[in-house]
Amino acid sequence: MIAPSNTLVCDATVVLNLGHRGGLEDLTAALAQDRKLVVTTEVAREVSMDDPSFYDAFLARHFTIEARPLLRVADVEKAALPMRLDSGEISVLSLCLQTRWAACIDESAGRRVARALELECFGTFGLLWHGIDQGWMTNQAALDVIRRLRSRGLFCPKVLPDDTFARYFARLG
Amino acid sequence: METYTQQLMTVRERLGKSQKEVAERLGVSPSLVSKWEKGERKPDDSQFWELGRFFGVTASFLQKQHPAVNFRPRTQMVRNSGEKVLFGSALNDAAQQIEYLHEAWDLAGRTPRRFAMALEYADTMLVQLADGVRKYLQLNEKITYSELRNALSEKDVLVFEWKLPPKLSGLSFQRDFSVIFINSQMPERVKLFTLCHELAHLLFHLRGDHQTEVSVMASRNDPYERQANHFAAELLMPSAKVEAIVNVYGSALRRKAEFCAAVEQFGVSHGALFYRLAQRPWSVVDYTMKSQLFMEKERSIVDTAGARVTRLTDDGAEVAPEFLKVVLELWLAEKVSSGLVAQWCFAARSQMDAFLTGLMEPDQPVDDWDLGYAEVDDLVG
Repeated sequence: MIAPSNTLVCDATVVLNLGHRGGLEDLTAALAQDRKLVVTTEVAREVSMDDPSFYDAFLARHFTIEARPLLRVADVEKAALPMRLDSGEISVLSLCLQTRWAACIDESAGRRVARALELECFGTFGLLWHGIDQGWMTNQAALDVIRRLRSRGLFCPKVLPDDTFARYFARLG
Repeated sequence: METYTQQLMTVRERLGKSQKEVAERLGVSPSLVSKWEKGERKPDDSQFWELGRFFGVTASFLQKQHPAVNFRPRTQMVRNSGEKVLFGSALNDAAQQIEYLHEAWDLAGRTPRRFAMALEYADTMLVQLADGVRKYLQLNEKITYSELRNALSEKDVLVFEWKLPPKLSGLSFQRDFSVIFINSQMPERVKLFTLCHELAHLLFHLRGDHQTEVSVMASRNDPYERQANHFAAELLMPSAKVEAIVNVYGSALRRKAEFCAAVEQFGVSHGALFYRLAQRPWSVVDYTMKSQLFMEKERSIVDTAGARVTRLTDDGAEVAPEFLKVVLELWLAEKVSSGLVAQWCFAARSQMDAFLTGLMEPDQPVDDWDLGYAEVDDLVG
């Protein structure tokens, strides 16, 4: 579970899922009230490739753009090998490594590296789970979000007719 | 001298940034930045990352081992510092794309190939040169943009269509690879002429050494520009065909209807045919007649924000198909993350995610709404 003290450093896919892909402005606002949501300069640049005006405003409303020098890039790149990560993922993991903040990454390769570096790691579905747990959204609303994310290009399993969010979440493994 | 020194200076100068500005951003002294560029000191990993952030490129690009790509805007192309940054960013991205090509090919264990044809330009041989190229590329008499793009792709020319600043119609590079960038925001027929123009640079000017890899963005008075324009005109509007049309229509080509009919025969832009007919030996039209024959639309304000690549499809991708293929193979082999695929292709992340999901889940519904039902009826009937 995500503790209120957790500062979350979000990767691009998570921001896109909270933003135009998932339409999760309310969940984002609720999360930001409890804790600090952070993106790196690289992630801010990456999401602005999608829709600059939307994401400039979205990030300004809910996120802190963290531009401090990154000191652990080489450690992240080494831990990722033989896989190569993009600049956004490297910056998120590097920042988490030097601050011990929690990483919020969906990409399986990035999550594997986070585990190897013994970083706390969540993903979009973990945020949805947290939203249900906190009573910010219903089980059904979370499943609808997953359907919406799938229809907008996120690669994830289908929601089955008799799924509850807990059952779906368990199936992710 | 190490390659990063030249790279640092080139990337900085493209953006019109001073050493002092770089020093302020990184919290170091200007003299240290100067020493970096002279190779007397080397930035550490963290400083390379910060430099990359400031310049909008990756740290690995600044540290790369290949000689810097020498794309440079000519001074007359930029009017103010805003335009300088737009141009500089586009050229830095193009140079970065060349580096991504190296990275992808290295990672895939492949050796890059380049366009095999190289010719010597001669005004007197222009007809024969264009004819030879037409045969080599197996082009139809009336050339279309997609036909030429596909033909070049088969001959190892990587064509990228990018959202570029309005004044930058195209640029080219040839060393280990042959690469052409075309401004995706231009009309199809203008893109066709630009593609022919850049092809001329590959054929006649870019020999792959450091001095001549420069992309061409100069004025029409530049001799290489003039040659490239003449070649493109001959390739798209062969002298013999222009001669035949002039013989048939004669001075009637000064009327809008006949002029437009001729434009359609060649499949080129109005401007391209106009300039061709204004040239010797035909001189059928002169520049005072231009406004009677066609009106050039004012250029709309182009939004240069967002991703360079705005369209990803299997067949008509704005990313060169050969590069896309290699990158996808690396992704399927789990050598690169999907984020890196988007970064290497200069595509928006959500667009790339949707494209990759489409590959992984072919049973997902596709947008085939433009397929004419009549054609389907014909096929099944």
